[in-house]
Amino acid sequence: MKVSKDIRENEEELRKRLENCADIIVRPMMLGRDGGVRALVVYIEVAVSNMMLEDSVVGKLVNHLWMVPDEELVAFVSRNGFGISDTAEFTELDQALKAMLAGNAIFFLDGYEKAIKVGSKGYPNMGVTKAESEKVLHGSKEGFADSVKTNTALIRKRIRSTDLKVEEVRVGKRSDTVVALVYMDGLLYPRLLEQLKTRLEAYEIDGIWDSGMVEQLTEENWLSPFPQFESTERPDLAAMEILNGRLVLISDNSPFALMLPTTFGSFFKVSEDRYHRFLLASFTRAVRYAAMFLALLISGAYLAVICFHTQILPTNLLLSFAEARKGVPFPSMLEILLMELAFELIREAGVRMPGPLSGTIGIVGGLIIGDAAVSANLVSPMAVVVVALSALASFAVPGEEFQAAFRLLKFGFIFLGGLGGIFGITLGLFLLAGHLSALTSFQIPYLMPFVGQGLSGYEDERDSIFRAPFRRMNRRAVFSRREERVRLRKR
Amino acid sequence: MFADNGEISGRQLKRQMLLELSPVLLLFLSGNILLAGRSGVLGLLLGGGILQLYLYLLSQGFNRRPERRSEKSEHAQRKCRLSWIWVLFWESFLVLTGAWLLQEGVGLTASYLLPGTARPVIACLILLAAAVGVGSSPEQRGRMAELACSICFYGILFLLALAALHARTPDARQMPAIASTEVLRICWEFVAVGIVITAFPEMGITLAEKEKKTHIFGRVWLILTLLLAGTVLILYGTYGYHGVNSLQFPLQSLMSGTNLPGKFLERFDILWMAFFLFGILFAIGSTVFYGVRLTPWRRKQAVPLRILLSVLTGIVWLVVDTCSLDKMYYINLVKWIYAPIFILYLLVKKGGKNAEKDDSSC
Repeated sequence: MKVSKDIRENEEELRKRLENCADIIVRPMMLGRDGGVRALVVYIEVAVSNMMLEDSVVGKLVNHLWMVPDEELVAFVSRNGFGISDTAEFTELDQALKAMLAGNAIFFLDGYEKAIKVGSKGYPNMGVTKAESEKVLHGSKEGFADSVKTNTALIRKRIRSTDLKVEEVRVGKRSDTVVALVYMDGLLYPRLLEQLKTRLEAYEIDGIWDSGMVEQLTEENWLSPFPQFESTERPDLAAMEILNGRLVLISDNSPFALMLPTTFGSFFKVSEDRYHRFLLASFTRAVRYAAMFLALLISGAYLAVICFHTQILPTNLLLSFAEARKGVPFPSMLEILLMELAFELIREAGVRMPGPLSGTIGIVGGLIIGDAAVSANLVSPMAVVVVALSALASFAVPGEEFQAAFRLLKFGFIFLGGLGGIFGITLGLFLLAGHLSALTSFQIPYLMPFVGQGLSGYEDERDSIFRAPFRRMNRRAVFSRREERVRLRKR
Repeated sequence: MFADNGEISGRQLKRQMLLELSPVLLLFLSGNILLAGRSGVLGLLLGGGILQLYLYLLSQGFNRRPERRSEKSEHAQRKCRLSWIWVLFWESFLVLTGAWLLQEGVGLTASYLLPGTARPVIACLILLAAAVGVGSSPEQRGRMAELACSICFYGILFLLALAALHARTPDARQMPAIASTEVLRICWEFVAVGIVITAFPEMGITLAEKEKKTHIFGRVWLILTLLLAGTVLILYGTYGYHGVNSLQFPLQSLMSGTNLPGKFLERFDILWMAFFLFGILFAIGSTVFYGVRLTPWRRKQAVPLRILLSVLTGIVWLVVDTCSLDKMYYINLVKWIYAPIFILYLLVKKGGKNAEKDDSSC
C-alpha cells in the first residue's frame, strides 16, 4: 500500500497492522507553530530515545517542527530542511514499516505522501566486548558485538579504504535479518560473491538468529564433520582475512562472523601468529598440528597397541601398563570410552554452569572423579592420562567447530583401534584422507596449501605449518585473485 | 579460482604413482629379484633403462589430448567394436590386478596386523575402504596422493635409510654367477609391469600443465628402479645372499629388525606395515577408479560400476585364495599375455597414426 497524503488513512492502516503490538508506539501529534498539522510517529519503544530529550535526533526534529509555520511545514519537510543526515523517505507503507522494525522512528505528515525514517539508537545490544572464545596474548582484545552495523564499523576501522565493500542482504522471511557481505573489491573473485548470494537465496526460512544458521544453509557438504566456513569473534582476524581475498559474512544479532572460502590450514592460523616473530609463531603452529594428531589418534592408537600390537612396546613399559591395569574389571576399549564420555559430560556441564560455579567443574572432574575412579580400580591410570592428553590436545586446536570434528572422529578411531588395531586405524585414516581430499570450499580444495601446488598458478604464501619471516611473506593466500597475489614489496 | 575440470598437476600424478607402486614393487618384486643375485640387480637396472627408453619413444607420439567425437563412419563403427573388446581386455587386467593386490593386502594383514581374523573379512574391509576412499574424480585422487605420499613414501624411505645403517657391503662371492637368462627374465618382468601400469594414467587423466606425462612417468620409474635396487642391496648387506634366501619374507624381516636409535619402541615393523597397507589400499582403489573411467557410462552409473568392479575383484580373489594360487600367476599373465598384447596395440596404433582420424572413442 502506498503512503497516503491523508494521515487518517495511514493511521487506520498502521493501527490495523500493529494491533496487539504493545511494544510499538503509534503516537499522533500536532506540529507546526500553530499546532494545526497532524503528524504521526511510529517507533519501537525501547529502540527510540525519548522524543522530548533535547539531545536526541528525534527530539530535536520534533522541537524544530513546532517552530515552523503550519503552511510551510510540508515544503520544509520535503526538502529535508531540518538537515538530519540519517533520513530516508518511503512511498510504500511496507518499506516504512520495515525501516521502523529495524529500530528507527517513522514520521507521517498530513498532506505529505511519503513517510520519513529518522535514524535512532536502534535496538539494545551488548556493545563491543572482549572476544571470549578466541583469547590471544598479543593483539587487540576487541570482539564482535551483536549488531551488524557495529561489526562492519569495527572492520572499517581497520581497513580505511573505499575498496572495502559492504553489501547487505536480508535473510529470513519473518525475521528479515540483515546479513552483511564484507570484502575487498579487486581482491575477491566476483564469482564467489555471486555463488554466495545464490546460496543465500536458495532457501526460504522463517528466521535467522545466528551466523551458524546461515553457515548450515549455505555450506556445500553438510554431511561432513569438518566446517567449510571459518567463524571468528575477532575483527582484526576478519580484517586480515579480507585482505587475503576472503569474504566475511556478518549476520545481525550474532557476534560470530563467517570467513570464506576456507581451507584446512586456515583453521590453524590465529591472529597473533602475525604479531609474533616467526620462530615462535612457527613453533606454536606446529604444536597445534601435533595437537590435532594427538586429539584424533592417541586414544585409538593406545587401544591398538595394548590390544593387538604389544610387541612394539619396550618390555618395561609393557609390564608397567599390565601392572596398572591389574584388577580393572572393564576391557580397555570400554575403559577409554567411559573416560571419554565422562570428559564430554564435564565439558558440557562446564559450559552450562553459571559463571562462578564453572571453575568448580574442573576440580570436580579432574581431581575427584579421575582420582576416585583410579582409586576404585574402575579405570587404570594410563587410561586417565591418555584421555586427558586427548582432551588437552583437542583444546589446543583453534576454533570450536573445527575442534568438534576431531572430538567426533576420535570416537570412530577408538572403535577402529580397539577392534582392528593398526589395520583399523589405517583404514580409518585412508577414508579420512579420501574425504578431506574430496572437500572443496567454493571450488578451492580444502587441503590447500598442502595439495594443489602447481595448479592455477598458485605459489606458496609461506604460511602453512611453518610461518616464514614477516618480510618474506610477500604473497597473499590462494583465495585472492591471481593478479593480486603480491602484498608486500620493498620500496 | 580452481574448478573441477578433471585436471591434475604433474606433482599429483607423480605422487599417485609413487604411492601405489612403491609398496607393491617392494613387497613382491624384490623377493623375485633377490633369488637371482647379481643377475637380478643387473636385470632390474637394465629393465629400468629400457623403460626409460620406452617412455622416451612414447613421449614422441602419445601425449595428445583425447580426440573429439565426430560423425561415425563405417571405419569408426568397426573401431567402436574393437574399442569394446579393448575395454573388456583392460577391465580384466584391472580386476586381476585388484585381486592380486588384495591377496597381498590380506596376506600382510593376516600375518602381521590381525592374526586370527578370517581372511574373507579382511578382504571385504580392504575392498570397501579402497573402493569408497579413493573417490570418483581425478582431482580427489590427485590430492589424496599428494598428501599421503609425503607421509607414506617418505616414511618408507626413512625406515629404509634406518635399515641401511645396519647393512654391510654385500658379498658378491656368495651369489651365483651372472646368467644372461636370469638378467633377461628379471628385465622383462620389470619392463612388462612398467609398460602395462604406465598406460593407465593415459586414460582420461589430463595434466594442467604443459609437461608431458611420459616425462613424469620416466622420473617415477627412475625413482622406483633405484628404490628397488637399493632395497635389494640393503637386504643383501643385512642378511647376505644365503640368509636372504632362507627367509620366507625377507623384507618383513628387515622391517622387524629396524629401530630408531634409543630404543624408543621395540619394533617398527607395524609402522612399515601401515605405510604399505595404505599404498595397497590406494592401488586397489586405483584399479576400481580406472575400471570405472574406462567405461562409457562412468558419469551416470559410477556407483553401480564401482560396486560391480569391487565385487568382481572380490570374487577373483576368493577363487585365487581358495585355490591357494602362487602369486607368480599374476606376473606370468602380465609378462606373457597383457604386456605383449599391449605392445602390439601400441605398434598398431602408432602405425595407424596417420590414418583417418574420424572417431577414436565410442
